[in-house]
Amino acid sequence: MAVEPIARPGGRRQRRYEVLPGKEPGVSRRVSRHYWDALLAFALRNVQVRYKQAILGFAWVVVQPLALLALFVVFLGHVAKISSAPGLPYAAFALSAVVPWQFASGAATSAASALVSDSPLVRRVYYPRELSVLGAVVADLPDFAVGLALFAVVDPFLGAHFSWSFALVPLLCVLLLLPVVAVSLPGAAITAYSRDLLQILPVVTQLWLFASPVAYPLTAVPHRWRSLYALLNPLVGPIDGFRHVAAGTAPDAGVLAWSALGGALLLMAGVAVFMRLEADVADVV
Amino acid sequence: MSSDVAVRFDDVSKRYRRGGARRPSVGDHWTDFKDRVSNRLRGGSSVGTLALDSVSFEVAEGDAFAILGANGAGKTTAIRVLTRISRPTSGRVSVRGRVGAIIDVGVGMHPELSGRENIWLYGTVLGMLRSQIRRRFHDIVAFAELEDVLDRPLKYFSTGMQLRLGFAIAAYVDPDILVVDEALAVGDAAFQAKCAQRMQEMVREGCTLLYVSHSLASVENLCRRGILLEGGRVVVDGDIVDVVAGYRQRVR
Repeated sequence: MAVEPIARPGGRRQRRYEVLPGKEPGVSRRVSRHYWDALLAFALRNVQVRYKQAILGFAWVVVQPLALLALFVVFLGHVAKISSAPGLPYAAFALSAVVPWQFASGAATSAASALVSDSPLVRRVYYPRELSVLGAVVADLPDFAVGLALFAVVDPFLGAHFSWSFALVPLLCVLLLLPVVAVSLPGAAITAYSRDLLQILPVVTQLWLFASPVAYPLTAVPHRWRSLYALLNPLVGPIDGFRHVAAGTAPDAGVLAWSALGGALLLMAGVAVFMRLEADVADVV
Repeated sequence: MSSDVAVRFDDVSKRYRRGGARRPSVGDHWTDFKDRVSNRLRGGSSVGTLALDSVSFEVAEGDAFAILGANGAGKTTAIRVLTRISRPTSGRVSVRGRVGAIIDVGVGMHPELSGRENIWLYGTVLGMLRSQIRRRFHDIVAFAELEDVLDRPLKYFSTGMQLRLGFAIAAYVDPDILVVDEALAVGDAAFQAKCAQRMQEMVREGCTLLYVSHSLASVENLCRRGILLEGGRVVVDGDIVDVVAGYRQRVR
């Protein structure tokens, strides 16, 4: 289905498309000014809907992470005195990984059902289907931003000591987004065909948590396996990166690079699966 | 395709898999799989429902065109393929211009969002930039007559109010092609008259209209040409008088 602007006698630009049995147009054909407007509209809709008919409304964006954090500080800072990384108290150690993990698991989970919950729209209007999925991921970014702000403000009080490596946070966020988008796209498309994935999702998420250095430090993994570990689980690089930011040390560049590669490969696979499935989504969802 | 054709169907077929558009369970997957294998072995390929069967027709730019047929004749499938919601199994559909479609009441607007928020969301989904929506916002609200309830969640709107809002948005996104599928039957007489008037106005301004309805009076009033579908095939294609006559003769 190619959409190409063509000139019309009246001078107004007009779009033309052909609907064929074949595949959807490639990524580059879609990106336009309108595309970003639409992505923003989907994300905004998700945020608006989430806080509708709630007395606190948008305040929940801040209140919820704050409440989680309070629990965290009380239990991990004072009750459970476990030490896991040299020079980094457990509360600071845990918070640095919980913030990115919460975003990754939360965004992937809401994205998995994005096409199903948008089915009234999917069945009645044409739009690039990935907007539903990406909109769900983008809608989780405000929460993540608040989480990051809390991390920046509170983690030092828990014992973190930031240094120059704090400047790497934007890079770590990008590396975190890669695997999240990579699993969200095929996850949502597969769920549109069969709901089985939604049932197994909590199990898979739990498995991914155990497979990521959230409850344990990366140093728990033998040195020679770390590259493979970071390649196979692209969350390893960014999460370990946040750890190093909290400790004020330099992240392991090798681990970051392997995770970046793993994330990019996963994203390519995810986009390929999505593009195979999306064309018939409206017929099956 | 020549420059004055807005929509062209070229030998378009659409086959839904077993059980219509949905595939519910492991058992169905299994029978579906078996059917496909045995069909492949016998050299055939007829699995599922053929909703459109080699449909070909053209709609000229600026024309008002009706698609008639009994329930299940393939009208909605034709509209879904035309609007890119679903793709054909074979054949080619060519469309020139921006399509604004009203396929259902509520058209996929969000029940939790207010009327105002839905205008922004749905307008964007239909292909408008934020600046274009801003320009058209008052026209949409005025046409839908919803000034007083604009900030109320859509779920508290009556069916008629939802329909008015949906039609207003689709009719004011400045489409080159307006597609209206049976939705208007839900509205009251005053609203139907208002929609008919708006559609005529749009056609006069050069918009192409594709109209699906069982209300023969409004079809004859609005459209000049059309097709009659029966069992997924085009059985009459031509002047609206002939199409309506064919409908009267067959669907009764």
